[in-house]
Amino acid sequence: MTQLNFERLADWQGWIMTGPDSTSALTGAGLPVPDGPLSALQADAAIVARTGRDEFMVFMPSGGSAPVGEWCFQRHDTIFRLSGADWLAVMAQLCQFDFRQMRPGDWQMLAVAGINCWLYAPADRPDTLLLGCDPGFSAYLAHTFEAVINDVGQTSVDRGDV
Amino acid sequence: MKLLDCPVIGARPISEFDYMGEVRVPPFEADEAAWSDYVFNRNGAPGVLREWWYHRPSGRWYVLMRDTLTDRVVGHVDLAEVRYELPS
Repeated sequence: MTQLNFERLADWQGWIMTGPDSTSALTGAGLPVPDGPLSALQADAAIVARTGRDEFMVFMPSGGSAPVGEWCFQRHDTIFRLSGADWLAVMAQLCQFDFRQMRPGDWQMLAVAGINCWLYAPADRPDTLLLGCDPGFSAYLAHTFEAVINDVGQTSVDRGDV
Repeated sequence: MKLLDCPVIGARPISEFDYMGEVRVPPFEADEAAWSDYVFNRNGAPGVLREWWYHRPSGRWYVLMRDTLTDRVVGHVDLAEVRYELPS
């Protein structure tokens, strides 16, 4: 069984951009442009999600090439990483959404433990889920996740992997 | 938990949505009686209504066709179809 781990990614930064120039702001920063609404693409460590017709959210570790535009604003989401083979069991306790449908590279925006969050399943790390939320709810969300992980961790099934 | 079966994003808890009423076009070039009717009166007969629903986690608006008799969502309307111009 892979141990469940929930950690805050303190060194990540984010932006939201909107308007007709948002696509060029992304390409200018060397970032990909997702096609459909509520879809995301990953380029190196950066995540670009399309959240509207011409609205995008970008998250990446500090030091990456930031998008620049007149209607590009920095966000201050608290970003968490949930990892471990049983992350589905944790999310099943906290959210109505059926995460078995979620494929690597998928982007979702839904309520987790009653808090509006965005979620991204990294394409290159199948046992990992990234979550972002308003920083005002981060302490509550972290406390809730830790409690559920302690609960689920005691009842998880050993699948035989190391 | 009550779910709203959104044709676009799938079944989600209704608590993720705000109901914003029936899609209606204001009678811009009308007299006071028509405005009064628009503001105060609704047709309460059961049937399929086109309704505004706001999904809070994603910040997206949807116009859903809901059968008010069975409380089932039967379709989705493109926002371009309900757009109207404000009088200048």
